[in-house]
Amino acid sequence: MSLNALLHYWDIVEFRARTAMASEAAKTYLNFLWWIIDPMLTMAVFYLLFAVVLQRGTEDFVFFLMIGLVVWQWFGNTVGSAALSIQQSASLISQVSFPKVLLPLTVILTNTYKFLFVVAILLAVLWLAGFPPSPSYLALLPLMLLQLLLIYGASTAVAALVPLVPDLQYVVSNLLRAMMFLSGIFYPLSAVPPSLQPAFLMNPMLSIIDAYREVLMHQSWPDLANLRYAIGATLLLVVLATILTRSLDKRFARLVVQR
Amino acid sequence: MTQPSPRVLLEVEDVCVDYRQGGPIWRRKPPFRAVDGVSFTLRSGEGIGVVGNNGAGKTTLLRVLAGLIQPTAGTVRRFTDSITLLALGAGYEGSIRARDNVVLNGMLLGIPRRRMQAKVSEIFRYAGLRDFQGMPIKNYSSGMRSRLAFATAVHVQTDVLLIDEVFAVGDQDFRAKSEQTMTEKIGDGQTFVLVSHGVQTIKKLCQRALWFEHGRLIADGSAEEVVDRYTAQRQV
Repeated sequence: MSLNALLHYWDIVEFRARTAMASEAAKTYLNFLWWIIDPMLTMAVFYLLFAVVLQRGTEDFVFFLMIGLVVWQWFGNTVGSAALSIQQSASLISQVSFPKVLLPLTVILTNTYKFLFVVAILLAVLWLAGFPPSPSYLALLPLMLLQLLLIYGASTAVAALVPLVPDLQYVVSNLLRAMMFLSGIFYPLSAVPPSLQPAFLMNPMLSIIDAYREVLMHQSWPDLANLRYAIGATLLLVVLATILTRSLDKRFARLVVQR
Repeated sequence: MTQPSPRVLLEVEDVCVDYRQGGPIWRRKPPFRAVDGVSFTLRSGEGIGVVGNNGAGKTTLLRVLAGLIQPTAGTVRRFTDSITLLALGAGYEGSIRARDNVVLNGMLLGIPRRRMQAKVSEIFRYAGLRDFQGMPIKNYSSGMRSRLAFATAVHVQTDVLLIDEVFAVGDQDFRAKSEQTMTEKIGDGQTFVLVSHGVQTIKKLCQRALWFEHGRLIADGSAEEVVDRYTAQRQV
């Protein structure tokens, strides 16, 4: 594919993401403020449950929870809405011929914009709360890149498989819920029975969330060894997603109009 | 009548398209054959009208010609990449402003954003929708949508224009205007396939017509003759 074509496709994804965000915001009275209110409300619910009702909180629990949820939601929300991105674009797919991978990519970009917005606020809150920036902040960039690739792999693979087997949409939403509770958002890995810890570490989101906390709360560099499964899973998913979208691209139109 | 130019743009050979009909895995329904063994050739400068009752496979045929759907069997040989399908309401994202939808549609057809943004005002002026550019498409009436779709398509340079029943919805004035534009385009040698229930439109604009019934091509000949046979059969 030529550079020109790639730039053109990027232009499409960027334009679609921007217009979709504007139209989504315009539907509500509080407009784009929901991008920040919504994650805060989610945090409030879990804080109430774990810190107030179940008394599980340590003194830094709010910040521990904030980082976990913000990082998780980038992954969870993106994969969740990308899953249906090809399946639900029947009218567009049956009208114009274009690489269908642009559809999940648009969802990824939209959610990444929202994530960056929330992260900026999160960093300010952490700073005010006594977790100052440190040289280890440099690790955030490769960390975000790793997570972005993981999100690309998971979102695109799922988006490509759902038109093939529509039943998967139910599997995906339940898998995401299970993964959310197993990613150490609400509890540290040390709270897990030691015999189960190696299994938990194989969950890529758990080790990624943990790495963010290392950087943001402990001002230290993430342990690369803990991230090995996350890196492996990411590479695997990226390859799978690329193979799936390439081989299925021409079949999607019939798959999405025939049901 | 002028001799059609010899350059072949599309060659359709024994094309069949099956749609899966759903049903749970323990009681599968047999696939539905929407297009059944169709063969014909489209040459540069030709205008073909397609007639047939609802469900005859006309829309599916256009999607196959546009390269959107791969046929279940048979082959479609395309000798150009520039084929544009123009269908009612499809391809629009309801919640997005009409203006952005037009730009997006053009971009998906391969036109750079800047060029599309420069064209968009002219498209709305042609469609007579200048005051509705900022309105989300979902608030458009079906007539407005079809005007916009037609206006977009005629402002995009394409080798083959595939038109799916867009004339039927516009009002009298716009229908006259769009037929006028089509006549001009045909004068310039535009190749097109027009699906329409407006048999007079087909007689007026096309040299040749195809008649479909239950996915099969049952007549291929001059527009005059095929349309007359089709209308005669319907009156029985």
